[in-house]
Amino acid sequence: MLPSDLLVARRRGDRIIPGYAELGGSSLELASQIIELYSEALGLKKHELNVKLSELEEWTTDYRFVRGLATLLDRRCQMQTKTSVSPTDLRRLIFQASAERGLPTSEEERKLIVARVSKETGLNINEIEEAFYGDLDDEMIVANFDAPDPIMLLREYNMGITQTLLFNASEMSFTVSDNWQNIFKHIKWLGLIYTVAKEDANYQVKIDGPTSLFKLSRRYGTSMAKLLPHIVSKGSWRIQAKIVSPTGKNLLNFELDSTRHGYYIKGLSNGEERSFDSSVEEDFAVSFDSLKTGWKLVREPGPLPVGHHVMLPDFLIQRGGLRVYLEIVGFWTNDYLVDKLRKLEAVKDVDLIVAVDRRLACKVSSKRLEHLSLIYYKNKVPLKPILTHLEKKEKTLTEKEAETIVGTELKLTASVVEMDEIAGLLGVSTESVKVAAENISIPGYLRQGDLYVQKTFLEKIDNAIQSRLTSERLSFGQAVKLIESLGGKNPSTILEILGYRTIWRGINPELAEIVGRNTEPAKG
Amino acid sequence: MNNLSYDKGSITIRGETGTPYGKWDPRIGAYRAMALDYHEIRMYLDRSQIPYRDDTPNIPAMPVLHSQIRLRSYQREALSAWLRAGRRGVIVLPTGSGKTHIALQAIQTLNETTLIVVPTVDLVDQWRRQLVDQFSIDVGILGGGEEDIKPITVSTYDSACLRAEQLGNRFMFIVFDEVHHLPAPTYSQIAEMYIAPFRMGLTATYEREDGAHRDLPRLMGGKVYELEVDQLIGHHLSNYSYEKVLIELKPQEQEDYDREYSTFTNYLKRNGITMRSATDFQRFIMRTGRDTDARKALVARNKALRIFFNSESKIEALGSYLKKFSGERSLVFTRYNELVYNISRRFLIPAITHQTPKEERREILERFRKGAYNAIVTSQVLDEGIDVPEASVGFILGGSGSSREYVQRLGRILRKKEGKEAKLFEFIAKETVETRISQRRHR
Repeated sequence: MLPSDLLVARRRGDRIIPGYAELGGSSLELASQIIELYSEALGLKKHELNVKLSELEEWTTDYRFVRGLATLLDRRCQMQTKTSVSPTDLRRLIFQASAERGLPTSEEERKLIVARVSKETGLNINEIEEAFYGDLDDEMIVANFDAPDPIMLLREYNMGITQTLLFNASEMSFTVSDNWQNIFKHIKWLGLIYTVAKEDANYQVKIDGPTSLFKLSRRYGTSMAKLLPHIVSKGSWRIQAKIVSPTGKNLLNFELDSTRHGYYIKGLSNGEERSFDSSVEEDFAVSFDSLKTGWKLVREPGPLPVGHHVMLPDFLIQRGGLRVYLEIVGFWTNDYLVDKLRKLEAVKDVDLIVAVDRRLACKVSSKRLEHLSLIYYKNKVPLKPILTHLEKKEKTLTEKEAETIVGTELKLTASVVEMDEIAGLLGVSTESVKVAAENISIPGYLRQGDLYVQKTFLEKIDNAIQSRLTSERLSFGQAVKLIESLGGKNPSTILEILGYRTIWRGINPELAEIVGRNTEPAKG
Repeated sequence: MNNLSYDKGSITIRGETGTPYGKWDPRIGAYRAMALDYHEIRMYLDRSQIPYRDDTPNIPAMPVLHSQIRLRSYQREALSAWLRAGRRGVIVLPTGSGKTHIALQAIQTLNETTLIVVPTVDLVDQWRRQLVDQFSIDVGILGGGEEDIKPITVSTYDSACLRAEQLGNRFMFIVFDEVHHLPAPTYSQIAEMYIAPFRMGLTATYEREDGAHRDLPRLMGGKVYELEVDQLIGHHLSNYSYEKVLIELKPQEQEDYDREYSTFTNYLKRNGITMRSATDFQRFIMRTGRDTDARKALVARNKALRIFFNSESKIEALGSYLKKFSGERSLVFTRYNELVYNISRRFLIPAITHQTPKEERREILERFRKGAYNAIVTSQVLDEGIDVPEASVGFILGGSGSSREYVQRLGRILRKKEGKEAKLFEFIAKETVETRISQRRHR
């Protein structure tokens, strides 16, 4: 953030565009120069450094750019008073001496007073003059300077003027691909209000504040500026804001997106983004994954709309089309809980498991949350009730689907069809087809286990095998090749349907012999 | 049943009934109203016999206040006018007429949790002291890095505004000292986001140049009492004299001034710019961002102004005046901090600017009151309300063209003291635009 008077921005019709620094050319040169100026200023007084900066200002096109960079660099300086005595104490002595002796109107009279203070303190005249106002900002010494990379400085500058522009924002909306958890926690902390609308595949989040309802207000601009670094720190993002013009009469549009501006603007690095305590979530993820249930666990899967609001569940557990969300409600403040419960009450059409810290049990009225699956935990989220829930979910789904496909008549053309393919055709799970198999009719096909085979195709294979068997022996391996050459799949199941048996003599399929339905295997 | 509750500077109304003050807020699915309307909403619901539950105020326990305040006749009149007006509105009295006492009496009469909002950290300190002296209670402080909320708390405008979301439902009574600050876009939010039904404004200068004082009736009630300086002079306030001291710049100064100032005026002429109002100047400032010549013209103008504000001739003249009045207590006002420190170093008199540490500032004022120091030099920080009745001589070495500033500075040395004859001197450089700035001040 930079002071408002250093904001550089252009208006184009009803749009406003900050004067972003290019990360090269003369901007980069200037940035390097100023950094050098600061590096060389170690030991100098602030006002001496200021003189050099104003020289630099003289020949640059926009002095605000120089001052903006200098403001950022000031924050990287450590300033120190030069003197060892306390200027406040020294001043008291001087003013007292002057008041007692009478106001000095000539240089000589002044010297007498300073000499008296010199005698009292043991400091020499120079030391006194030096320490007199040695604690003023301008008199402080640059003691340390943490020089940034010039490109980084320019990116910080671009972030800085964007934030400064947002000071005057009346509302802001954005879409992001990442960092939801952090962004929403900050929206809350900053006292902003948001509403969410779905736009294509994205959620468009609009933020303003409680009193924005009554009139155009810049009150929340600073909070929006503080939110900005969290929005632009990860993934792809797009921001739109309404900026109140200096006269307060017009609204200007401001737009920013990751493809065009991501490179120019510094967001927060991973280290700078505050991380939240999530050991309970961590533990759960590790133990769930180690079970290898076949369900996929997704952490922080993104927002789940609840009316105008969103929930940000901790986990999504999915398998095929099945989606179960898990929200872990830890031991938080009462306000947080009340808000969370209000949202949870509004969750509909979503399978949500809510794991509640046992210490909160008394505060959570389970009646209002009947539609959700509530489990309690202490220290660790138990896996068993969650797995039971998932199994039940799978079973219920199967039964429901099976009901919907009972009595279906299906027309197939392929010679061999597996049950998975049937499930695909009906748009249900294989499990459901299995349950309903007796009640699905597929004319002209026979079913064996998970396989459906066309009757005419079976006859063709049977004839082929019969004709081979009358003349010679047929090994299992040969039978498989024969079936496959006719376009069949799953040869052993087909042989089983046709009533052939296989006599195994070891594990070599070439030594395994096919025997006819009514014949004994040939001896020797 | 309707439910009123406080939500970050506003009031939410949940339930079947709306009120004429609320607005439907689709974001939360409830009615929302400005905290400013709290009192009206309650009155409306009561009058209409609509049942409701009110969770809005979050009021700490209030001690019973005792004190021995003696009001002067006009102070009593002012207070009762305010009470009659429904415990709302602005009292306009000249600086030095004891507005603080009226507020203290009002605080005791209402005996409600109170927030006192003042423009500067110095005033926070001054009010706190008076409240402690008067009521012998702990007083909360908000501002200048402190945040300690008590049933009676003193805050700066800045902090009261910044913390409105959190504090807006903690006080039933708000006193705005120097209330002419309130009707500005930012500070008016204090009036809008706090629920306090009882509101008192105090000022010597009700009218604002931008006309924004017309919003005061909505924010806190309009003018309920007014007395002008002339009505109190001699009786309750000191007599004063004003003298303009014309200073001739040193030849080198005059030469530098003429050169720099003509760079500025030449630029204006070349570009056909006229400067008649603050907006004209604002427009010119905007130009400086993209036009290097405009920037140079501005730099030259600022240099020229600095020459007469900081003129050596003026400093010399000040020296001899200070010497002449060394038996009295003097205040010196300048426009820039730079000059404050020059004068402080040159004449070895204490300085107060926004950079002066709080403790030291307190100490300087204390010693000045007691007579250990007889002069203070300051820029604009002492413009308002700081109580230094001992001061009897004022020197203006350069200020803005605002007439309010002039009145306020005059007020510093008009504090009532027996037999005091106050004197105000304004040092103006001849042959410069300063003569014009000064005229604007006395308009």
